[in-house]
Amino acid sequence: MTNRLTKIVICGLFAALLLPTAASAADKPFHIFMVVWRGCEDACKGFQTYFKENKIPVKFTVRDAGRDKKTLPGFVTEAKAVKADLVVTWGTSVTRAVLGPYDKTDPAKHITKIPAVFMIVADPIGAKIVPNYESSGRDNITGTRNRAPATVQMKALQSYRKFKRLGMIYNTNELNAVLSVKAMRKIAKKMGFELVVEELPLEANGKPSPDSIEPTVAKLAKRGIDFLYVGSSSFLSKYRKPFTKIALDHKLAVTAGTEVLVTKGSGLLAIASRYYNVGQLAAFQAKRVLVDKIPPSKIKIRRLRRFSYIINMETARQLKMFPPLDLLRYAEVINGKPGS
Amino acid sequence: MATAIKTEVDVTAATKKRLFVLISIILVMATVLLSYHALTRFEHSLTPELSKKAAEIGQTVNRDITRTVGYGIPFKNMVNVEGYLKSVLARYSELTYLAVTDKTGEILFKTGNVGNAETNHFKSAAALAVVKSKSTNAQRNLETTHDLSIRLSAGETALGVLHIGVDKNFIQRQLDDIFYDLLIILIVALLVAIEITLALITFYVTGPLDRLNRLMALYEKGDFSQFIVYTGKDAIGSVADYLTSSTQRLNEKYQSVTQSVRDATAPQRAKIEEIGQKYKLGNLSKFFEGGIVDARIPLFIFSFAEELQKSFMPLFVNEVYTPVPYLTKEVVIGLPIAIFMGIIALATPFAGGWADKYGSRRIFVAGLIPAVAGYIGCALATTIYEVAIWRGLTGLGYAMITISCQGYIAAIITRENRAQGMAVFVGVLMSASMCGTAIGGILADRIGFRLVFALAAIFALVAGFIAYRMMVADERTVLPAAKQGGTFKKILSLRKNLRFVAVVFLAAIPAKIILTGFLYFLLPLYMVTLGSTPAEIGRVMMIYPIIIIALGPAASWTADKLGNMMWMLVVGCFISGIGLVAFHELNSIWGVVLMVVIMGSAHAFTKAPQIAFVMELCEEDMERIGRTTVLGLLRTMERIGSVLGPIIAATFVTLYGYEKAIAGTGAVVSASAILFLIIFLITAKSVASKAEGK
Repeated sequence: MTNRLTKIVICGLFAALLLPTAASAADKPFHIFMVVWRGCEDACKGFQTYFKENKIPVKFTVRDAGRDKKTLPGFVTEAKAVKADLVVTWGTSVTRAVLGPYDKTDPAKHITKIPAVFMIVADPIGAKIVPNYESSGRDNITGTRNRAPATVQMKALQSYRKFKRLGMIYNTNELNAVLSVKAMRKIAKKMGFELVVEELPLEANGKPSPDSIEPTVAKLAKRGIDFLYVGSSSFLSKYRKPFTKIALDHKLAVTAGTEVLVTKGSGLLAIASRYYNVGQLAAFQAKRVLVDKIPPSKIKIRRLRRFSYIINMETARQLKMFPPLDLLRYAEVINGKPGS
Repeated sequence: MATAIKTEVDVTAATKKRLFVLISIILVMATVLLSYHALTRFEHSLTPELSKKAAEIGQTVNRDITRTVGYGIPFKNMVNVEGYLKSVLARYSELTYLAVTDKTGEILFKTGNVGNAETNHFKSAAALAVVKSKSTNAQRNLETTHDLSIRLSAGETALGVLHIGVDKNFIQRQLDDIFYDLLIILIVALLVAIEITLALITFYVTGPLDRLNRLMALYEKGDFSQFIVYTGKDAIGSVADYLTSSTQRLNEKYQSVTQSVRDATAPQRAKIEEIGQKYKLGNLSKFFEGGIVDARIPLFIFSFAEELQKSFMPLFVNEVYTPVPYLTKEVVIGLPIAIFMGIIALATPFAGGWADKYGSRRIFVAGLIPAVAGYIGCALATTIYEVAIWRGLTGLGYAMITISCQGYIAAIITRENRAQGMAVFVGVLMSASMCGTAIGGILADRIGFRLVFALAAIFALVAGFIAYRMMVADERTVLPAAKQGGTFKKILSLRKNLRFVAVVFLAAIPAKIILTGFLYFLLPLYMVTLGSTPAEIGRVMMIYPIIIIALGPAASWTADKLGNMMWMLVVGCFISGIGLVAFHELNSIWGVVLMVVIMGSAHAFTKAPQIAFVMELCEEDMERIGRTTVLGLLRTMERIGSVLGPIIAATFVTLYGYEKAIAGTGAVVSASAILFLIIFLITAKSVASKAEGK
C-alpha cells in the first residue's frame, strides 16, 4: 500500500478462457485464491480462520506481492488458469490491480468473471473499486470497508480531548474529500464544534502539489485548531509522511479515519477496524457467495460496528497531548516505549 | 358438674398460654443465638474479604497507572485521572474514596470523600512506608474508613501511593441488613410457631376436650343421642371410648327393649317411648366435629402465599412494563393491583353464594385453581397484559378462598362466639400479611421476583391440601336455600341513608385508597428511588399490620371509653392522610416509616369504630335487611377504594412525581374526612329532631 500513487503497471497478458465457476460437487472444497500485499497478516489470517471455525471445506492459495506491484498481473493470470472459486484481494493497490476500477474494467487484465471479495481498502469509493456501498455494480464483486462513520470518529475524538475547533484540509479535485467536508459540516453543527477548513490550491494540471501542503497547514495552524482531521483524501494519504511531519512541526495533532496516517506516519490517533476482524467479515461475505450462492452484486459492502482506537504515543509525547488514563485501557498504542 | 367443666376449660386455656410463653422463649433464644453466630461469622469473614477485594481493585488501578507512565507520560501530568478514579469508585459501593499521592504524601488526584484524617494519614510515615519498601501495601484503620495504601511504581522506581478507602459503614450496613432479616425471620417464626401450635393443641388437646365437655354437658342434660369418635390413644381417647361405648350400649339396649316389647300393651310402649324421648335414645349420631382451627391453618398459609408478592408487585410490573395506549406508565404499573382488588370486589359476593351452595371446602379447593394458575402465570409473564390477567385470576381465587373460610368459620361457631370467630379470621389475615410481606421481600432479594411467585404457588397448594384434610365435609357448611341471596333490592334501599353513604364514601373508601394507593403502590416504587431493596420495602410494609395488631386492643378500649365513634372516625381518617402530607418531603426511609406508623395507628383506631358506627347509623335498616347484609355491603363498597387507590396515586405520580403524589393521596383522604365531618354536623340537627320526634 505504500506505493499507492505509482501508476499501475500494465502487463500485456492475455486472459485465459474462463469456464463457468459454479462448483459442481458439494463435497469438493472451495478453492480460494488470496492475493496479499505484505504476507498473510491479520486480515488474511482472520479470513482463513473463519472457514476453519465454520467447518467449511476450503483450499487456500495465497500469493504475496511483497509490496511489488509488478507481481500482480501474474497472479491474475494464475487465478484464471487454476479456475479458482473465489479471489480475495488485500489492500487498495492489490484490489485496484486485480479487480480494476469499476469504470475502466478490462477483462484481459482484471478478474471479471470469478467472484471476488476485497478487504482492507480504506476508501473503496475513492479508489474507484465500487461506485457506492449498496452494491459493487459488478456481477462478480463484493467486499468490506473498515472506515468508522464520521460521527463515531468525532465522539471518540471527544473522549481523547474535548475540542471546540476542528481543522480540515482538503483538495477540491477529489469528490470524496469534498463530500467528506460536507458531511463534517453537518456533524459539527450537531455536535457543537467549529469546523475550520483550508483548501489545497490546485496546480495547472488540476491537481494539488505536495509543496502546497506546508503553507496550507501553516495557515490552518495560525487560525488555531484543536485537532487536524483527515476524513477521506487519497492525496494526503499518499503524502502521509511529509504531511503528518509538517503538522507535527506546527504542533497540530492529526486524527484520521484510516490507520495509515497514524501507523505509517506521525498522526496522533485513528479510529478504524482491526484487521483480523475485517478479515473475518470478508470471509463472511465470501461464505455468502460460495455457500449461500448469493450473487456478489447483491451483497452490500459491509463494515464492522466496532472500531479500534489507535494512538501514536510518540506523537502524543512530542505534542505533550497525553491520552486520558481510561482511554489507554482499550486503545491500541503504537510507539509505546519512549525513544522507540 | 358444670363447675367442673368450667375449670377444665380454664386449665386448657392456661396450658395454652404457658405453652405459648415456652415456645416463644425457646424460639427467641434459638434465633438470638443463631443470629449472634451468623453475625459474628459474617463480620469476621467480611472484613478480610473486603480488604482483599480492595487490594485487587488497587492492583488494577496500579496496572493502568503503571502502563500510562510506561508510555512516557509524566506521572503528575496524567490526563483525566480523576474521571478514571471516579468510574472505578462508582463500580464499588463499599469504597468511599480513591486518591493518588506523590512520594511525599501530597494528594495529586482524588475522588470521593477524603477528609482531614485521611489527608493527614497520607503524609504519615506508615502510609509512606510503602514508597520505600517493596512490600506492596499497608493498611490502617481510620475514623470512618479502612485505608489501604498501595505502592505505585514504574519498574523499580516508586512514583507515589494509591490510597483506597473502604467504608466502615458499609460493613455495618451489611450487618444491619442481615440483622433486620434475622429479626423478621424471628417474628415470622414466632407467629408461624404460634399458629401451628395453636392448631395442634386445638386439634389434639383442647378441641377434643372441648367436644368431650360439650358432649358431657349433653349427657348431663340427659341427651344420649350423640357420641364422638376419637382415634388418639391417650387419656382423652380412653374417656371418649368409654363414653362412646356406654352410649352405644345404652342405645343398643334401648333398641332391643323396644323390639322385645313389641307385644306389650300400649301404655307400656308409651312409657318406653317416653323414656326414649327423654334421653333421646334410638337415634344415635356422631357429634359434630368442626372447629375454627380447621380453616385457620389453610387460610394462614394461603394468605401468606398471597402476601409474598406485596413488597415488590409494582417493581415487578415496572420490569415487564410495555406502553399501553392512552395510559401513562405509572397508571399502567398500578393496574395489576387495581385489577386484583377489583376482581376481589366483584367476585366476593358470588363466591360467597357458591360457598353457601356447594360448601366451604369445595370452594376453597376450587379457588386454588385460578389462584395457583395466576401465580404460575405471573412467574412466567413477560408483558404487562399477562401480569394483569394472571393477577386478576389470582384475585378470583383469593376471593373464593377467603370467603369460603369466612363462611366456614361462620357455619362452625355458635352465635355467641361469632364475634370472636371473625376476630380470628381477621387476625389470621393480618398476621399472614405481616409474615408474607416481609418474607416475600427477603426472598425476592435473594431468589428474584419470579421464583417468589412459583413459591407462592407451592404454598397455595399446601394450603389446599391441608384444607382438604382438615375442613369438615361440605354438607355441614351448606346453607339452607331460604337463607341464600335475594337481598339486592333491600341493599339499594340503604342509599337513602345519607349518613351511611357518607361513611362509605368519605371514610371507608378513602381508608382503602390510602392503604392500596400509598402502602401497596406508592411505597415500593418510592422506596426504590431512595435506594431500598425489596427486603427493606417488605420490612417497612410489615409495620402496618404489626401496628394494627398491636394497637387493636388499645383501640377498642378507647372506643369504649370515648363512646363517640363519629369523632374517632373523623380524627382517625384525617390523621391517616395528614401524616403523608406532613412528612412527604423527608426524603428518607425513616420518613416513610413515620408515615406508615401514623397511617397504621390511625387505621387501628378507626377500624372498629367504623363498624360500630355503621351499626349505630343503620339500626333501623339492619332490622329490615339484616346486620350481615349491611356490613357485607360496607365491605364490598370499601373495595372500590382499593381499586381507585393505585389509580389515583399513579395519576398523581404522572403529574407531580412521587413525593407530591404521596402528599396528594394523603390530602384526598384528609379532605374527605373534613367533608365527612361537615355532612355529619349539618345532618346532626335533623337526626336529633327526628330522634326527639320518636
